[in-house]
Amino acid sequence: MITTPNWQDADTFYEQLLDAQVNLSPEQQQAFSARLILLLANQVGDAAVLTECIQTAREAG
Amino acid sequence: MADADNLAWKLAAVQRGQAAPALLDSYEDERLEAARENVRVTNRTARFLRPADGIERVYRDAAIALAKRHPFARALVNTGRMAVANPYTRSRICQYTPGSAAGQSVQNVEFRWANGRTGRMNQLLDWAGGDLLLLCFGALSAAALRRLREVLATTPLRAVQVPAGRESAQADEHVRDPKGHLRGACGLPAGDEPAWALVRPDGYLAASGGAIDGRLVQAIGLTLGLTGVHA
Repeated sequence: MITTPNWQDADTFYEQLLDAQVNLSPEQQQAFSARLILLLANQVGDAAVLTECIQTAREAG
Repeated sequence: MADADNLAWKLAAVQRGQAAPALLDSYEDERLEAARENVRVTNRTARFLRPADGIERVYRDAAIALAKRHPFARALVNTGRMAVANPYTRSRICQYTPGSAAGQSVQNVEFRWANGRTGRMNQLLDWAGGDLLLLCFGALSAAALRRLREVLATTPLRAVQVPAGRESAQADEHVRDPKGHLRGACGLPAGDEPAWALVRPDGYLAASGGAIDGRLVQAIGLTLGLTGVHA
């Protein structure tokens, strides 16, 4: 799992992420996030990395 | 079915006095693991088909929505999985050496009998008639052949040589594996290197190795419950 910066453009991503959800209800936002996570997870592919990402996301809560 | 397959050959071997009664303990090692795995597979399907309210349903719906347009998400749509032969990863009668596929089910692949006719792995198991089946891949040196004959004289085992390519066979009983399917099914690296695979009557790989040496003898003992780390 990569925890050092791997971005090409972090600010643009962050902005796009927020803009995409502006007019969505909380339910729609949840559905959006779920679809996005599944899409991104398939980009990662590697099972061990995905496991580590899930664990790390839990710890940060 | 798999439970019966697992138990049948062990009971028969014990009854014939070829295996130790302790062999039957391995039934629990193997089928308990399989039962747990089957429950896990079924639970995953149930969770997809009937998700709990809240986030489980959110992700289920997200997976279905994506699957309509994107092939990758179809892998997540779990309406029931094909039954596969469960591997045994913690069995006392499998010899788990590095690189060996011991504990895996050997696929029913194609090969050629010595007369050129097509055969399948399951027919080889039938030919072994309930005994352990030893596949010896590649050329057999004089020493290996002598060792093999010693083993065959003292253990309930049927052995068959699988010479590399078109090379001549040193053993009377031999089959051909022109496409390397048998080697692959036994989890052995492709090529002509000598190797052996010990297959149980239920079609599971008990052990595999390179040269015909003491470790083969050890593997046979282990597979019949006669010796073992737990003994």
